[in-house]
Amino acid sequence: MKWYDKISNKDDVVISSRVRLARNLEGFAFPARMDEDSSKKAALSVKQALENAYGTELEFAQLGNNANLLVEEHVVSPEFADNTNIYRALVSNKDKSLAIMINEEDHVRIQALFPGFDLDAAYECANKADDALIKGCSIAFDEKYGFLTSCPTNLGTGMRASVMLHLPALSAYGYIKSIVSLMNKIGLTVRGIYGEGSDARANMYQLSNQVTLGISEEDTIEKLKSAVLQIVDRERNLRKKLLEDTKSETYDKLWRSYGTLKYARRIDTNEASKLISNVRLAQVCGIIPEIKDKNLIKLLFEIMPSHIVSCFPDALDSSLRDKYRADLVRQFLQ
Amino acid sequence: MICQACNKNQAVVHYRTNINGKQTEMYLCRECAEKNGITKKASFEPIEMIDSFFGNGGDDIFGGLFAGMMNDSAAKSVSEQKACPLCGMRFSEFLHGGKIGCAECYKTFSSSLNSTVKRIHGSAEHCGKIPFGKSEEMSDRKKLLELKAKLSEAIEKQEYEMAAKYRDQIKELENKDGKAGL
Repeated sequence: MKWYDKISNKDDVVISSRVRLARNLEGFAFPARMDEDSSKKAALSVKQALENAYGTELEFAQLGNNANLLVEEHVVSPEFADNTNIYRALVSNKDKSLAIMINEEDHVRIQALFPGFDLDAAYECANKADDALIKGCSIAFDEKYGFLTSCPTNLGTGMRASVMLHLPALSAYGYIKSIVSLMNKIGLTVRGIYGEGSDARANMYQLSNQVTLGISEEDTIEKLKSAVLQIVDRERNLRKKLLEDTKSETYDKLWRSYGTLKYARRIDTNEASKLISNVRLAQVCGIIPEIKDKNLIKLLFEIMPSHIVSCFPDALDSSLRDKYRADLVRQFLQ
Repeated sequence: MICQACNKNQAVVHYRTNINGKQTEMYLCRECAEKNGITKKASFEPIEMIDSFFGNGGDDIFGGLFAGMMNDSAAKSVSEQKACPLCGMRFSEFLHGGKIGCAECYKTFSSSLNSTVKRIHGSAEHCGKIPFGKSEEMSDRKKLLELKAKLSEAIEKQEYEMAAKYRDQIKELENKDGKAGL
């Protein structure tokens, strides 16, 4: 079971909600200036604190070959999967909705990642792990600056709350740029899910808070929520407008996307993402009833390169991967 | 990121081709890249990680930018070039890399950092979760500050009876574990 298995059609615009807390231990240099020995010591004390609170509920592991897979699933950051001389470990629950990275940029990065629009649940989950950590370890905290972090942009609450949004209609009408600048004005950031320059991929965007000092966790989440609700509202209205004419080009495009996915024999990641985004729009708007129960977001994760390789170990060159990807998609849509 | 060919070594090259609009990309270790005949000339470029949901939400884009965010007076004190006693970081390293060395650095470089922090967040006062254990100590400090303010106000108004009350409360707080002293 993965965290994204529980995403349903009701999550028509907000795909997932995430809360990340950055924490550091007192008495240790931050990971970038740590040696192997002290990184092990720090990891051990974090492990102990979490074990005391969670028992065997959490799994403690070092990253191995599955690192890229976890990056693609948004469970760990790309930086965390990088090679390093220091000791790094991941503590996570079964579906990885709670993932605690030890010795990433900060000693501890607690991440709670939940399906749909549920920032409160994500915060509650992350905060519980944080309480366990604070109980068992001495956490670097300053009355004025709050939780002390490796990058001053995370000072204060150390919290980054974000939601992943599917915005095909707002994109189609060209509203993304104005949303980005509007959000920046109120202290929120909009980015593509796979980073800069990938904005168009699957029309997925993440919206998160910029400021972490001088605003409480609750207020940060409330602010984000109210912005999300407004965006969701506009996206839904535009979807109606976009799809009201069944003779329109858009309508045709959605069905064609479905046709391609259903019958293609080779497909690369980019094209597949784009088409899945279209089909997902059609699906949640009730246009393609025969796939109403399919979790297309799950498919969006499973077509990524490392995922294909994990299912088909011989898929080493991309042309073979494109073939396997098409097989996988066809099977999924059956 | 691990090499997608051998799944063993660290990938050091991001190989990307675009032939007649058909894009191919791979993350490979040097060995596998060479085995596949991808030469340095062809298209080695520094590895470009897939950025994820994770977000640098602004975490990593700063780097040298901090230098620009420093005002003159802060920049002058930077020239002192003292090193943090715990981790050895110098302030110039922060200006260059945008990352602090350890929790102690925030004390070591507090005068230089304060304006930077204010510019990033528009505030330099934490408001939000306080780890337990630290909250009692902190609320005592806040109480103490309030009492001291009240004390001077009472003295100003010549309300000596009240002033004596505040003085006793302050003493009591200050003696408590010797922790809350300002």
